[in-house]
Amino acid sequence: MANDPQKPKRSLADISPLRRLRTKEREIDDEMLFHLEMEERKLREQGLSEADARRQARLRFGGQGKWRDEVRDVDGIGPFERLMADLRFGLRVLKRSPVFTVVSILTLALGIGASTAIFSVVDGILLRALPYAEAGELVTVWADYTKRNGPEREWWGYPNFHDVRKETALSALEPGAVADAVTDPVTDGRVFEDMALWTGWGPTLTGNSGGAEQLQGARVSQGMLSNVLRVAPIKGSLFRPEDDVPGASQVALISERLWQRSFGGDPNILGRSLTLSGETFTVLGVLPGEFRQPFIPQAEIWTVPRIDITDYPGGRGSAMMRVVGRLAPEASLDQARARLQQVAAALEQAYPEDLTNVGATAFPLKDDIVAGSRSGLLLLLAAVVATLLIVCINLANLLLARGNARLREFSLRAALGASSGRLARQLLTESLLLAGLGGALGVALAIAGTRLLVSLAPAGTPRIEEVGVDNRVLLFCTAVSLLCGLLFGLLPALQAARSRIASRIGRNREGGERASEFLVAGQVAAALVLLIGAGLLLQSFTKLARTDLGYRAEGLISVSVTAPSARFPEMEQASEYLDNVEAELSSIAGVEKIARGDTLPLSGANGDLTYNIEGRDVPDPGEEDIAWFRRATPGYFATLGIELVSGRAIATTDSADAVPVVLINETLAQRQFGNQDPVGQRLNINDPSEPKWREIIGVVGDIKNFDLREQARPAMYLPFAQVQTRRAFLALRTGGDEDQLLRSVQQRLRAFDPDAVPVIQAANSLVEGARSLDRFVAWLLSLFAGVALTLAAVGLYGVISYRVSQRTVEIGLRLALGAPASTIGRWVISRSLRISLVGVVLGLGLGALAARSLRSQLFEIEPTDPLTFAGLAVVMIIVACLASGVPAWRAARLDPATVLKAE
Amino acid sequence: MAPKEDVLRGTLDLLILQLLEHRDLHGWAISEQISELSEEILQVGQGALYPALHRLEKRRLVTAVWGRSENNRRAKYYRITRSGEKELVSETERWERLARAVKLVLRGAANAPAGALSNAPATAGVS
Repeated sequence: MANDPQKPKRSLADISPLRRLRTKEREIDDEMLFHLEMEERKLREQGLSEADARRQARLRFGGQGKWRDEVRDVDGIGPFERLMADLRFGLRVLKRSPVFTVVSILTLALGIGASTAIFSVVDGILLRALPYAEAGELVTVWADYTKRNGPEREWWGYPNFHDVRKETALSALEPGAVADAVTDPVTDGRVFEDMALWTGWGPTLTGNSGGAEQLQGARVSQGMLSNVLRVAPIKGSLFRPEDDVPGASQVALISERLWQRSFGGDPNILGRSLTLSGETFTVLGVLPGEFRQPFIPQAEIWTVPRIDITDYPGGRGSAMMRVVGRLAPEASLDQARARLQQVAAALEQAYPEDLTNVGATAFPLKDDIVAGSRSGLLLLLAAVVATLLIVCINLANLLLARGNARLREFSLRAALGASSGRLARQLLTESLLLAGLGGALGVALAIAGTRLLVSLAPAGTPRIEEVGVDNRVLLFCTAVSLLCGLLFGLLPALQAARSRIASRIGRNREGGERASEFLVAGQVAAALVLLIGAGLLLQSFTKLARTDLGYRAEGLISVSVTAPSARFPEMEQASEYLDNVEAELSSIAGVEKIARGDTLPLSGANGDLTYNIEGRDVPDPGEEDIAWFRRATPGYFATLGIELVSGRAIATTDSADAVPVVLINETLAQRQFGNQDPVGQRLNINDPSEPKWREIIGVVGDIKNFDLREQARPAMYLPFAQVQTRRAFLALRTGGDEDQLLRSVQQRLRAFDPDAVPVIQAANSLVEGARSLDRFVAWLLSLFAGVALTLAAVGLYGVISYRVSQRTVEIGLRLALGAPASTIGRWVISRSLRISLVGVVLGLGLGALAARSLRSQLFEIEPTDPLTFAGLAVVMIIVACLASGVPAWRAARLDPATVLKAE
Repeated sequence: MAPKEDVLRGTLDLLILQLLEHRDLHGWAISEQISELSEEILQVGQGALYPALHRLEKRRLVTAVWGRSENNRRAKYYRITRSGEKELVSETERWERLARAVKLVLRGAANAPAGALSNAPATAGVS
């Protein structure tokens, strides 16, 4: 039979299990209450007093919660139903005090939302694997100059890269040799699957319908995309080995983004010819839009370098390219490093004049990509966790105070047989409910906050395009919410568990107050730690903002122009072109001075070169001094505002066929000549075996060239005319409106040469860019510190107010006995001071510990700066006094008569 | 006052059913009547009574109805069902048989020679 008539139909009440549960629970409660009442009545009839009858009845009832749970079990109210009942009851309790609930949920949502947003950034940048297959195997490979007091991470020259790869990479073996020769890749020295080099590439796309376009891209050796990064093209193929040999016809890969944007998603893109900086390239394939070239995430076009190893300029020691490798799956990073050292030592033997004391090393790719952001991000994470902790403490305090107010409810429920465990569970459920609601709202805030952070993040933050709220972040948010609920719920729950016998209320209140005060002291301490961190970073940032650059960035515009060899095959033609551009720009109204160099300070690296001084011993290979250098035209120092310390600047007479000259910076002068005047001395660059002496004509001031925090390094300036190049940065000095000038330069250049793609920027924006991470971290930390301070003040206010309200009788009595109101006020404030002093001492200690880890972030300020510590401690104490001011005033104004009458 | 005894395990259900045979009662009245009718010898702890009542209800030997108490309070009354009455009959028989058996054993043991009982362990010990 399909329908069993015997089976009772589900009644309407059954539809909602929750409602049924509610009824059942209430029935049990009612039954028990009724029993108690009857028992009490009987006992009273036997002549017991009301209080005795009540106590006796409860005593006889016995068993406390055990039988109650038994009854529940019989009635089919299991743990899950009990949890639902707790939740429901919790919701009812929360609904009963909407202000408390809303404030708690909002505070929590802010705390959880902020920490989740910061976590999503930290996760996307620092924690998550790079978006490549088996990304853990990817490393950067570097020439190691530490033995020459140079950098540990130096770029490579091609011949060296070629030899290192030949000895260490599996892919460098002849095809077919792999299976036979290699038994164990690691013992055979094949610690790399493959390694590939890359350089930046910024070709100009012309002849396309959209007009000339400056592209960002990379030249990568053949194995980069296939073996190292393992990207799969969405169309066409990757570079083949025969593409990356000298004389091969030029090929390019483009990204899906470029394909869509500039070629309208042309279905016949494969095989299409592109004109890039005047040369013809054939499109070989399209790479997925989400693929990012490490270190150049904006790259949208790739080609191969096609280097001829027999005709390579600059020698083995030259630093021209960077290398990324993929470790063999069996090889560890340490094994790879050891093997690289081995190979480097062999090369050192073979080419002592270039490679003495040059090693080779490797680092995880991810570490190198995110290196600049790591400490700042971890700092923010620590700060946001501290803020969240303060939020939790505030809530714990609120709940403790409420717990005291709810003692009557608890003791009634205890009398009805609720065990202490059950009461604690109920309170914990309420806390978790709050945390859950706060967390839900927090997710929304986190999504908005993450977007905000990504848009505010300093330009050039690595991997910022990978940041977003995903499942990992949501998991984090959930975990944080639960943890918060446990954190702030545990203490009140324990407190309630101990408070179930009403007669212990008095003693218990003392315990609760002590716990509250301890928590608030902790809050004050945490807030002070954040304040100290923010204070140090803000001062450091201010100092960084005021730091002497060595040149004037305001009113300085730079225009980068290249004379491509396709259009100007001879260097003379290229120089003439650059001269013409300079002449054209100098005629723009508002340009006061103009000059050119080959780079601008803070705009990227120049090469380093070695040098030796005339009349001194020729240094051994590998022992030479290193300096960075810049080409400059006459007027360069005046235009940039670099101080000429002694001698003369570059003049138009320092032409290609005149006496070779050089200017040096103060650091180089001090290092080589001490107090002697270097002007008139001669030095030689790069090759001591065939010296070409250059006369030192002047000394100029040091500048911040790479980074605002750098220690000045030796540097030299060479006349542009004597060391020509095709790429120039024109520096324009104006006293007028920078934006206006930026626009007119753009217009004038477009009219002058439609195929030119200049990069025009204000030098100030470079300086701003170099400061932006510091500013980002400093301001966010200040924001957290501000929030922490406010929360600590609120916490202090809450606890002191509560204490005063608990002590109204005592205060009333004192006032009645003639204590002056000021004494009462002082008494309240002194309590608050005692709490905050404990917190301040704790905070100073923790702050000193925390500040030590800030050292690398700080610029010209000690992490133990006493003024910062003392000043902020005073601020904290003042805030504490203010927070207790209102309750103190209220206490002092109590009317003793009213208070005592009320009791 | 005579020393109080906890109601024997397993007999509580029987007592409850017996009391409900005559009229509907609420929990407190049941505990009172057990103690009264047993001349205050038997005492039912609430820890046992209510779980037992709810178990009986679950087994459909009793049903619960809400009514008004003597003092005009909402109270949960228990009422015996048909199957409860059958259970009462069979349980009463079982109990009486058990009680008779216990009595027989007690009487037999008191009349038997002392050695008959104390010998058994000794013999076992020899072998």
